[in-house]
Amino acid sequence: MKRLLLTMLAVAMVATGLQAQKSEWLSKQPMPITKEKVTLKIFAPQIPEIQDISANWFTKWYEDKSNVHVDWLLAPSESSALRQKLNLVIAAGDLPDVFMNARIDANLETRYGVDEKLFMPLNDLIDKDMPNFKAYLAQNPGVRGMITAIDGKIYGLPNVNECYHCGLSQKMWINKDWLDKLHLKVPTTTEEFYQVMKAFKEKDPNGNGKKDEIPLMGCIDSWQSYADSFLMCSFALDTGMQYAFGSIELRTFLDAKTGRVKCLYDQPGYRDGLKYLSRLYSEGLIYSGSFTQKQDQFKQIISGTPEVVGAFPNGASCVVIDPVAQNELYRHFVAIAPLKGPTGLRQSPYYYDGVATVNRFVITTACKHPEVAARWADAMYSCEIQQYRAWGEKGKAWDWAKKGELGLDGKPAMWTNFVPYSTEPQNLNWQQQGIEFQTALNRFGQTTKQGVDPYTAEGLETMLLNTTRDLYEPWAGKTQVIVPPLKYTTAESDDLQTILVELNRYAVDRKMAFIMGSASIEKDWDGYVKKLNELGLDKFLAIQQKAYDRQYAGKK
Amino acid sequence: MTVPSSIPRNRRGRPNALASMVRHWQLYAMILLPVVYIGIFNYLPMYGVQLAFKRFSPSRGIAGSAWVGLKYFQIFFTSPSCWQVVWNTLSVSVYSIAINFFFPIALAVALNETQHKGFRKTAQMITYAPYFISTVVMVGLIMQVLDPRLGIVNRIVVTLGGAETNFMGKPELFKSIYVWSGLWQGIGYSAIIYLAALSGVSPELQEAAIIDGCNRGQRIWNVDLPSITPTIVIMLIMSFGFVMSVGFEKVFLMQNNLNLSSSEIIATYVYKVGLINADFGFATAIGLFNSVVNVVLLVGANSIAKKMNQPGLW
Amino acid sequence: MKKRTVYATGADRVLSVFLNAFLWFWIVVIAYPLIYVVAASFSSSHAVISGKVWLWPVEPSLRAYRAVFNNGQILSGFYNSTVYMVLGTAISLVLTVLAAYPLSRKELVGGRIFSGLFLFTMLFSGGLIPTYLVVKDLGLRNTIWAMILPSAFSVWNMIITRTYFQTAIPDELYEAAQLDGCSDFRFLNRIVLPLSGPILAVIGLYYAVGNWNGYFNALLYLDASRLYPLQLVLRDILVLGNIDISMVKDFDEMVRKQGLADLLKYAVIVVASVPVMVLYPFIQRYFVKGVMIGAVKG
Repeated sequence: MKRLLLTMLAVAMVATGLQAQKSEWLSKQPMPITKEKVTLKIFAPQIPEIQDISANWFTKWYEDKSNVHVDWLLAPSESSALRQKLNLVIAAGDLPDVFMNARIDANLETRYGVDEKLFMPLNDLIDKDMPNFKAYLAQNPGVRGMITAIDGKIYGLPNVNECYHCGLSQKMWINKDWLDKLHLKVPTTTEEFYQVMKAFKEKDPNGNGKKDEIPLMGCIDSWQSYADSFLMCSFALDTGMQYAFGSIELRTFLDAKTGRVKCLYDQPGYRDGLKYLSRLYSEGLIYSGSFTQKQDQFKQIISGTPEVVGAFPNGASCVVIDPVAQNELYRHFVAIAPLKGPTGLRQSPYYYDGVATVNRFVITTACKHPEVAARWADAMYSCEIQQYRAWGEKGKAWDWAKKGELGLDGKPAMWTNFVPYSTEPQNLNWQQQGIEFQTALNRFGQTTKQGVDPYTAEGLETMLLNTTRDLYEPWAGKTQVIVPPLKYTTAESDDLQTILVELNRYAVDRKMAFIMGSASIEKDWDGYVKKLNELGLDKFLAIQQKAYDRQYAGKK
Repeated sequence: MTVPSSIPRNRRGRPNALASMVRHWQLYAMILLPVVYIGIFNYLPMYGVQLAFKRFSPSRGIAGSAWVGLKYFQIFFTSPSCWQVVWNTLSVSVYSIAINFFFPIALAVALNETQHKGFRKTAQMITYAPYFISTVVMVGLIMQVLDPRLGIVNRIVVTLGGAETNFMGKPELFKSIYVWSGLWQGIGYSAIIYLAALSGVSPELQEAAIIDGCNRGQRIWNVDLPSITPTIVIMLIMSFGFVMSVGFEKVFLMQNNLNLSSSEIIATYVYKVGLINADFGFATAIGLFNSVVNVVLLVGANSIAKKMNQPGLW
Repeated sequence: MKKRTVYATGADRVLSVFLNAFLWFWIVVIAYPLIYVVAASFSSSHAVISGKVWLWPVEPSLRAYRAVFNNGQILSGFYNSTVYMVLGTAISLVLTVLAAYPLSRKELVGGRIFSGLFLFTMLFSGGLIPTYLVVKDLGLRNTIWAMILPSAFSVWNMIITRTYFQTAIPDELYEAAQLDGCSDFRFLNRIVLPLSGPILAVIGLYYAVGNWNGYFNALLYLDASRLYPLQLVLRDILVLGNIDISMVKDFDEMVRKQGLADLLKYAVIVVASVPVMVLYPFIQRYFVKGVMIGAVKG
């Protein structure tokens, strides 16, 4: 168990000790991949940032280099449409050679890979034909668990994106300007936070003589922006927005000591957290619209004059405040460290997946040249090919760094970017198409102007890096951690399908009732827990535990 | 008017069916094409309904997939919130039919009575336009208008001395918000069909009514409305055939943790279950259940209409 | 026919005020958000997100439209959609009339069976997979017919048309024509269709709008973007600004996309609805009172 945790934390800690040689950057995959020209039929979404994938610069460059031609079978990129198309193509038996970037989640993997045997197991190919990916796996043993299907085979290759500050994304931003005006200290405990919010509410920090201040505001569709999750973590681990928005997210966590999966919703800590939140809410310290409004409304309220917002949770403040157009406001908000709860618990959930999405590249059983497809994918697991893929031509769009140039972390840089990123459709590189391999090495190795003002658009990455390292990494959850992505057998997901929807609906409904005071925590709690069990909480936890043990326990 | 005597009659004095068919062969020739069409595009795929009772396996095809019997129905009907979800769907749908039935007719009548041609055309154009606003933006506009701090509704309430209300957070208001915003978006588009029907009203009848001394209100009531009643009745009956088919997207976008008790409908429930279990069977089974309920309601509405001496669907 | 002067009575005036108030209410309630959408599409993203836009573009900018039209597929999307709309509507109208007219005639023996056959398809469908397989087996995938045929016929529209035929075409006309030895084809062509301008206009509009707004067939049956209709192209452009929380591993990109997202959705609505809006005045011309006069008397 301990070893698992260590590997999980390894990515987070890696930020401080990075250094690599250029040789590590180059691809180990020999080119060309094949002597005879091979054509692969690839199913992929049409990325709007790319004008025409078949005429794209990287497509041509990579074809020349690898001697592999691609026949594109394009699908829409919007996720539900893509899923529908994928299902139909498979249902109709029109298998391409490869599904790339097709958002095949764990359920589809089980269904089409494990049950239907339509996907090719890649374990042998990884050993034989994929030196780059093999090296990556060796360096990141935790990834193996995430990409392994329930039958122990690997059917898909992941997208790698090691975003350091995204790993500790439950951040709270507080109005420093108001703190200073009212001569308050940055709060460090839940009680201090409550006092600060109360002062924001009552002492008119915006000085307009009206009590129009909103001490704490959240919204439902931004990034880690739920009004309750950050605060709840001081009582019991609340994973916030862990998975795709719109999917069912029953909050669970793993007790690191025992390796048991727990559900947040029946924990005693959760009960105390609800009491705390309901106190804040009843005194008007949490904005009532927080639980219904979306980012659109959030942005309008926070950018209104006079300033009315005292604190808000978000993965990054720039998501809701424009660092350029609203720089003064942007500067007012600084991150605070996780708060110490009444029992001394102080933690921030660590989202340890450098693996952004699984099954980014899946070879089907219809493929006649699986080894060619595997090698074609493997080259993209090197920083070198990645530069060409994401940016384009060397010398024009990017180049290796010169001596003396420094990276984001202040150490010698590895590469320099010449073209500003733009969302305008273009045809010089692949943007989000193909396999992304953004390692921490790559991110920190980009030449960065040193000594920039962190509270500007330019200093954004630096600010987030410093904030995360200084305020959040010390509190990365260690006793309660996030359950890594679980995979279920068909029978298990059959059992889970309605239970999960029912449990989730009941739990969030009650959560709101407890916070807003329409249900009493003292009186109604026992009945609530009883009802959770009636709805199948025990069964849910048993399946979770089984799935967790199968996937991760006893493995490295 | 007599039927030409050359047509053979049966005992009850009605033209012999076969002979009539021969005589009106052209009617059958006409309907042949549409029948072939629905044969290919609607009836041929009907075998897919068996997926409601099977676990679909792409490698074995629909026919070769394994039977699971009534499993999906059982899962649905034994889930604790099943009836709540069905009720939410039914109530929001019937509410919507009622509102979206009355107002477009009223709008069409009002437009029809407007003498000023330019105003009439402009009014038609404006009321027709919101139909083309996409659902995402539509829901965005709803949230904006009803926002506790920014929304125009709350601003008016506060100016009048009331307190801010978070409309989107009130489960009891969800259905009204859904239905009235739907009316807002669809009133002009739905009114078009009644405008067309009204333009078919015979001017002679109007003339006659005027001679009889009817005022405008009486003419609307006694001439216009009876003339378009068949269209109204048919539209109403048919809408009962879609009671269970409340669309997914708008409801889903309007859902939040506070209103789930009234905003969870069949479509969103099936969607959520489908995310967990990538299986066509569950969705097909619930679709079949919806269809059956729709049939019952449609047949019911049709026979009520017939009892009231109105034209039915068949 | 001479136009009679009608003296407005008191009741008429009250009614008139009431009807006008009703119309004005809807016009105001509907027009404001429409103006907002247009104004927002021409404003800067900052002005939109900070809630400064009310009636008039703030910090006017064409950025959203530039982003929309920068997409190389937009023009081909316009072209494709127009073709699908025109061709699709024509085919749909033919199919609809061919079913609606016979079903409106009492002389059609077994009319109830036919009606039942049609209605059944309105209520039950085989589902996505078998429909997809049928279209595939017919060889329609990746052709323009995949865009037109699978949704060419709407039972709903057919029933409305049938009802119109039944109520607006007097039986006497048919019987008289029968006596004159007029065949059904001829009767349909010479009498029914010319008298059915309003309903054909409405049904045509419904089909045209359906074809124009439809993207689902494209999504299912087209693999090549050169055949994409406008709506699918626009949906893909919207994805440019879409932020999916599960994908938020690439953080820089999310921030860059945000401003654009707020603008695009409004511009896309304007671009996509202009053609169907332009269509409407042509349809309105058919809603003229009194098309029946000559016919009935003749």
